[in-house]
Amino acid sequence: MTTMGVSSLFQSCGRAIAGISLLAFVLAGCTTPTVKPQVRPVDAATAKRLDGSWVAVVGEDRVFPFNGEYRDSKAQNGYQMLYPASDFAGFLVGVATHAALQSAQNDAHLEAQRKISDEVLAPYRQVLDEIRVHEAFRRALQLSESGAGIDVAEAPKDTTAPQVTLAAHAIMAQSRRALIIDLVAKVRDPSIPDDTAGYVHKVRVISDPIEVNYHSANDYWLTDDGHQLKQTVSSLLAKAIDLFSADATRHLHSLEQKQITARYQYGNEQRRERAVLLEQSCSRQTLRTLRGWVLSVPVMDSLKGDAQCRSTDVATHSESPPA
Amino acid sequence: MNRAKLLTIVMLTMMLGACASVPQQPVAFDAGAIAGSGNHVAIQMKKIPATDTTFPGAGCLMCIGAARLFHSDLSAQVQSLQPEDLNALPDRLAKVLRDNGAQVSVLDQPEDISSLPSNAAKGENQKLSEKDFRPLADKLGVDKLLVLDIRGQGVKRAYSSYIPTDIPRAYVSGIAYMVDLKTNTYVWYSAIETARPAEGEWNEPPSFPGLTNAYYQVQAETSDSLTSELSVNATKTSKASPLTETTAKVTQ
Repeated sequence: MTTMGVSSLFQSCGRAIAGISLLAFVLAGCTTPTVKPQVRPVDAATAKRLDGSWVAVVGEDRVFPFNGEYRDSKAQNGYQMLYPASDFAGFLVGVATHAALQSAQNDAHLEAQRKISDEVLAPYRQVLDEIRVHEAFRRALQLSESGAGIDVAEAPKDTTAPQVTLAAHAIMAQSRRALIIDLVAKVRDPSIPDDTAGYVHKVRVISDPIEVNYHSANDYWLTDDGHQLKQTVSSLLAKAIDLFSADATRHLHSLEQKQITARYQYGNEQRRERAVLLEQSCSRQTLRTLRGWVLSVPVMDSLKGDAQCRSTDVATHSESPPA
Repeated sequence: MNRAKLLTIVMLTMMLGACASVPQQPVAFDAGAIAGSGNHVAIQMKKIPATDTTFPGAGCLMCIGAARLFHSDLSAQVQSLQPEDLNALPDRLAKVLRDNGAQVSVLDQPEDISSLPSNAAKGENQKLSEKDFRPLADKLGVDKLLVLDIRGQGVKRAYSSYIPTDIPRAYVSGIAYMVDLKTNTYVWYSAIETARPAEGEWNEPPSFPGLTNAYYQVQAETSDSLTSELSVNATKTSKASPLTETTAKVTQ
């Protein structure tokens, strides 16, 4: 190969690298933002303080947030575009335009999908509007095992007791045969003035499956002015608070460190989660997800009738199944 | 006829032939095939492709380079994952078949199916295999061969040239089938196409817990779905039409 040929090869490689770098720069603004770890467990000193009484700060009294389960099974379509340009700068403008159009299309798709997901709540809207945040937390604390020493407040109090900001929302399965409660608990470290640097625990509790068909589910939830719906929200929230309390005070320990792919019942479906097993009884499993959340799930129907399961319950932490 | 014309005709014939071929339809498991005599089944799984990221639609070298550059953290995480459920699949299916009365052996060294001769009798018959498996009957000393052919697994993200058009999804693709080695008849044929995005946000470097979870979920779904096809149908006594519209799908 001649010297000229080698030089030309180097120039081509250089242009390709420069091109990819420029593209990376242009597209960097179009990519999904990075998400930081969602859970920051409390330190030993805070854990000890939470073992006593604490104040639950639940914010203003409003309608308890409820969503339909978000399901987006279809891959999104690409916005096809060619890049007719006379030079590299024009080409980059073409790519950036393509990215903007695709991003707008994806956002519109997400928004439309969210609206469709929430349609499952339509029959329950009147009852859901009656469930208020303060009342839901008060009821849940009455039902919870760890609620005895917990005071509910709208805003942080001037007190020496530890204060935990609790926020929860509920999700109804599209099958209408399961409810989910997500609880986010944020514990402020009094030694750190920055409010964003608190400890965060997340807990998800999935209800036992409702043994009715899709159309009968409305009757099940709405009978007696929606008693079953309100009661299930309270009991799941109570379970979530108990699990937060157990986790924050370090009473939840792994049965084994090895990760498993756990199977559980979600309404009329089987679901799976990669996690570490924390507790197991014949009716429920408690897991630590890869994101660090605590997840309480009903075991699969096929295991509930197991004779061995009935005789050898290996729960390490007593629990009463919600709902 | 000159060479150029001949080559053009051959190419056109090949292209049109490819368009005309009918894709293999799923065949529901025929439980009767492992009942009574002729129930010795060998199971083999081709080497599973390495776990990796892929970017379908990134159609030029620079597009692929840009896609790889953006997802270098994700690729590093995905490449560290092991296909546990897929590795365990031959033993799991062997247990299901044994529970239903079959004698089952799992082959340590898979046979090279591609080297088998074509099945001349295949034609449009969806129940007949593409390859002539009969030479394997004597070689393996079994009646049926169950083949697990995983063709891709990991995380994929659809692209249109330089632009990602979808969120990344964990996936498994391939085929699974059982063939009668004496008659070249499919006892079972299932296409595997399982994909799932992370729940919630996906861009969580360095460990990408959402997508890592989805990776294990699609493997478990694939394994459960294939197991269910063999166990549910194997317990049926009636022989319904072995051709069904269902597949081993499980796309979300």
